[in-house]
Amino acid sequence: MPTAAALAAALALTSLLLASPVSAALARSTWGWRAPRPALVLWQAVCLSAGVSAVGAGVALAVEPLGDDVGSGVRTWFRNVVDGHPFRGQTPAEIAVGAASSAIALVLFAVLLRSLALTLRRRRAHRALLVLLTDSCPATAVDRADLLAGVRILDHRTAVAYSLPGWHSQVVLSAGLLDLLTRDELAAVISHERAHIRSRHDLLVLPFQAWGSALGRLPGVRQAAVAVGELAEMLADDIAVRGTDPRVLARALAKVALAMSPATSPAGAPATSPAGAPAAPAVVPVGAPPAASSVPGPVVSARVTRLLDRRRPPRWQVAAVYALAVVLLCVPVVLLLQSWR
Amino acid sequence: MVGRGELERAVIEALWASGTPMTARSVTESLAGRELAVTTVLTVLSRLESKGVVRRTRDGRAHTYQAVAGRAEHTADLMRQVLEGAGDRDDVLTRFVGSVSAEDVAALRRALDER
Repeated sequence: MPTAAALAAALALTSLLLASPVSAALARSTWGWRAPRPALVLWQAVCLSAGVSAVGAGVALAVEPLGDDVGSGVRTWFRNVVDGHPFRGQTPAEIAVGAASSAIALVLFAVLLRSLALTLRRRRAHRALLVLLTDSCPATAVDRADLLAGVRILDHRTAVAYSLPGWHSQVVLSAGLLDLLTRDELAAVISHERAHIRSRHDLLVLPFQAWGSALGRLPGVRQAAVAVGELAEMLADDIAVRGTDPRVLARALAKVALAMSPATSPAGAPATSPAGAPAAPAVVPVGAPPAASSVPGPVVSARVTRLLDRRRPPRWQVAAVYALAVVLLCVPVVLLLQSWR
Repeated sequence: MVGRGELERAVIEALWASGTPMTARSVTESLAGRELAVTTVLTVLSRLESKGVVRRTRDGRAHTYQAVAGRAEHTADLMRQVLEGAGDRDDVLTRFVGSVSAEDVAALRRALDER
């Protein structure tokens, strides 16, 4: 029978392995580019398992004298709290470890809540302006009115498409994009954005982004956020090209990317807004250093390449990745169910 | 039934078109085709004020309303929000193409040249 210390060590080791080397390896791997859905599931499992293990390790050490296993120990501790003696039977070291693991759990949770609140507020502000500034379908695009139903058009020459997820979700295209793309390409872009909205990819990405921006100095956390974001884009690409020619979306991607890079088309990047507009200068450096440095590799061209080469990993590999995700989730659960007496 | 957003857009466009501070009454008159009550316009104006798009000042007995910034400035502001949210920060929205690296440009050019 393992001791509580051994269990805690195993949990801590699991958490460290998952948070650092495993995350780094996953972030470097390009296997997921060919199968983004199982790769995203694996990421969620790694993240959840690492978090549960980290908190569980501390809890196991802290409640060791209070019960035969983590469950009974925690139950005893709760009874002690209700009785008004929260620290009965614990040494100062155990109290400190318990406090530390509670703090970790609290920080992870608080960061998530804060990020959620911030995101919702910014989204609401963005949408409020959007409603005032966009038309449903401009006169220049009446020939594509059927396509653009329910899509908002922002009168700006920079070619962008984005979606605002959430309850009042919105797909937004810029006038520059309408000029740049053909009808088929526009349809492909719109289905890509609708795929994000319908499948709620924002919820898959949110925890990684929240922890990435709050705990970004820990090794691997930021890379994880970037990798998960890329996989969500690829998943939306896959959903968008179902039943259509994937080369159309690939062409749209290439066109938009090249239009965005200032080196390619100096006339494409700057804003149409009058020279005196205060916010205009910030719009110009699109592909400039801050953005480029946060992205490890050629992500857009990778998306184009995988749309043109639709080879997918064999079914057994996909099944193995799903199985691995389940195993990773089971590791901390099984460890936490062990009895030490 | 006219949507709330649509009404707000009509009112802000009236303010943009005039360029000078307007009273709720003069806004209502400029939207004559819609047959709105002044109180309705007042409600819309105060909603716009709470969104930070409209500024209210006291002018003698009446309040006047003015657009805080022009259409182009607001559009540029939205665009900045869209383009700044690149990759790994808390993104409010998801962009079709995030950031484009130099490697990307080279690879995409090569791909296009091959055709």
